[in-house]
Amino acid sequence: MAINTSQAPPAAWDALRAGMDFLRGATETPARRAAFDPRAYETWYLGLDAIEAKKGIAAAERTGWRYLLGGRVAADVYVRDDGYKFAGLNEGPFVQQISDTIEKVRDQVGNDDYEPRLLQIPALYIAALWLHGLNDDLFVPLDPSHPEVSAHRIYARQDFEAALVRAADARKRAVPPNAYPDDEGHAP
Amino acid sequence: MADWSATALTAAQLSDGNMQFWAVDSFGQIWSTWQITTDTTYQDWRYWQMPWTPAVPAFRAAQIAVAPLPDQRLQFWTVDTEGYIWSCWKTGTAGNAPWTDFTKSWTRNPVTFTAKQVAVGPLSDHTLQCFALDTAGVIHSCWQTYQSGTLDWNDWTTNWSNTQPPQPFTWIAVAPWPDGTLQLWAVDTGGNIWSCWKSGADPSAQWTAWTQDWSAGTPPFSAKQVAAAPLYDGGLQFWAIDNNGRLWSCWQETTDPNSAWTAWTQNWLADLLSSATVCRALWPARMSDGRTALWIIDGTAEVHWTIKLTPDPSAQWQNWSLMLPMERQEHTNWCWAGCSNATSHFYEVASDWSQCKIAIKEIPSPNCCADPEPCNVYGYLNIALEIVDHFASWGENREPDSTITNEVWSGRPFGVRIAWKGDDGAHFIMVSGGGVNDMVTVKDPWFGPSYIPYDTLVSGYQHPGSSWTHSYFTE
Repeated sequence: MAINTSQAPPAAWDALRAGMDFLRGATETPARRAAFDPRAYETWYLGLDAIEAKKGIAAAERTGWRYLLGGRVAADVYVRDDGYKFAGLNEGPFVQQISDTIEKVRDQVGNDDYEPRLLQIPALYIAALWLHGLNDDLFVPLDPSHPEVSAHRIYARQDFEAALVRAADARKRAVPPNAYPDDEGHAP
Repeated sequence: MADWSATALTAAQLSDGNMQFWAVDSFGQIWSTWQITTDTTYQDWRYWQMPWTPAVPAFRAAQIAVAPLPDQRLQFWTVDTEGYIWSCWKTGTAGNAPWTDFTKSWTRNPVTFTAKQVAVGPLSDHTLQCFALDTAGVIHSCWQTYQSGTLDWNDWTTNWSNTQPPQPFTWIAVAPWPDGTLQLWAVDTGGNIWSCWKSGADPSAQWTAWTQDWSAGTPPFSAKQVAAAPLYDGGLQFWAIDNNGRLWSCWQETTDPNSAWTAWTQNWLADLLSSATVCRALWPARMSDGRTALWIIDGTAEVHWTIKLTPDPSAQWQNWSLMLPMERQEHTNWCWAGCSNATSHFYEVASDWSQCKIAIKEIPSPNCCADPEPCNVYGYLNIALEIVDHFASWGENREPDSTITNEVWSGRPFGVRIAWKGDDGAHFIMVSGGGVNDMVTVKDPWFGPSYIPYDTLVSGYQHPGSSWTHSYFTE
């Protein structure tokens, strides 16, 4: 089995370089400039409405690429109608974890080839390593995760979709007992 | 503004790679915060703690320093307001090992001078050399040596260098070169920066003669305070605060021990301090992922910090941001509790609010600490901020980047509500930094810290379809 990262398109790479060059500044010391060849993962988004409508993973939307820049830092590049755009840097809990998780599950996922992706479901506070294969898809939620979806567990597609539906149902119940009748829309 | 006035600061890496940071308040109390890594997952900085040693120190601290011992345990020093040098150290090599209490008896013989400042650096064999500046401007030193297999500090001496220092001095700093050679800098009463360094990497190598010609040229300013730290590749960057509170820097052009230094500049980061901002103190340190960070205390005694964007030694620095420790929200719907609790602990370092205590008031339900799951519901950030008494106003609108910059430099974190795409709900975050290039620093109780274009905050935070819907001013 192999988990092979796919190559980000040149336009996404150009957007990343443009963003980083924009942020580069007067401090550059050419003799000390490090090589710049970050690993990248495709990023996907799944909305709560799609989960509630039981559309499953098929409804996920490709959002761009996440580049691991070294250390705890990742850069996101979004795909838009008019091309790719640098979206910023993140150093949160999911940055290092996706690479660590790939290494942890590499020997546990059978003989097929997979492409690693980052699936983000922010409405449910879930980020998962999505191992996309020709024959099947596997999902490994990253930590922290929603209580209905276990971090670090390898889910088959159907099991993961069922867990997401349970998480979406739990979210519906998360209305405060003192819900404001004159709510002006600023609560989650 | 935070309710405390920082007067001195220092930071160092724990043995587990997380950074610990200390600041002294105007009462001489030493506060600390450190980075949180749980199950190998990095989150952010935890809330300020005091005391972080077993007992509350029985002295008022004036100045502080920290350095790793050869086995990676940290040792911490403080000079108190009476000129005594106290020290404590980690009792074990684990990152979370407890600290000892402070003691004045950390060297073989007691200190016989009245200290003003202490600086400590590692020699190439990882033993430490300590330098102490006395109130007369004289530098004393002692260092660790192995005696019968045991590491011990030798006696204090003023004859540690080969040549007579051009004393009196008002400030000292020390840092190691990439090959382990130690370099010492000292500011004289005229604001000149002198330096000497070990003539080789060998810990017993002699010190060179003192010189002002260690940098690319005579500094175009009169120095008050200086510090240096290695970048990712080990080459040093040096900073100086001038008499007007301006921040200058230069850095080694290569990692060669004999490398030349770049010219002095105030433009070492894009986000220059405004002309109204005075820098009172500084401390640089390299993080475990290789990025170097710099903390400063501004003229209003607020702590700000900046960090390299990536480990690349040539990488730009982030804009200045407030030290807003953000612990993870404890439940999936508690972003309002996480943000308001962090805001409370920012404004009041001794705050006793917790996320569940805020939930008890906001839900309201008396059992949110004992049985939090029924309390894991949506909430309102304005109400949560009111509960912790740090709410100023809110609006159903976005604010311009200039407002963010103004709020941050006024010492006020700024709240934002992000609506996910469609009807997917929302999430609260805090903004702790703004500035040039339209870049902002976000502190998120779930997704961790981000440094993003203002446009991404407006539309596209965490995913392309999200949008900024509401703004929350704090006080």
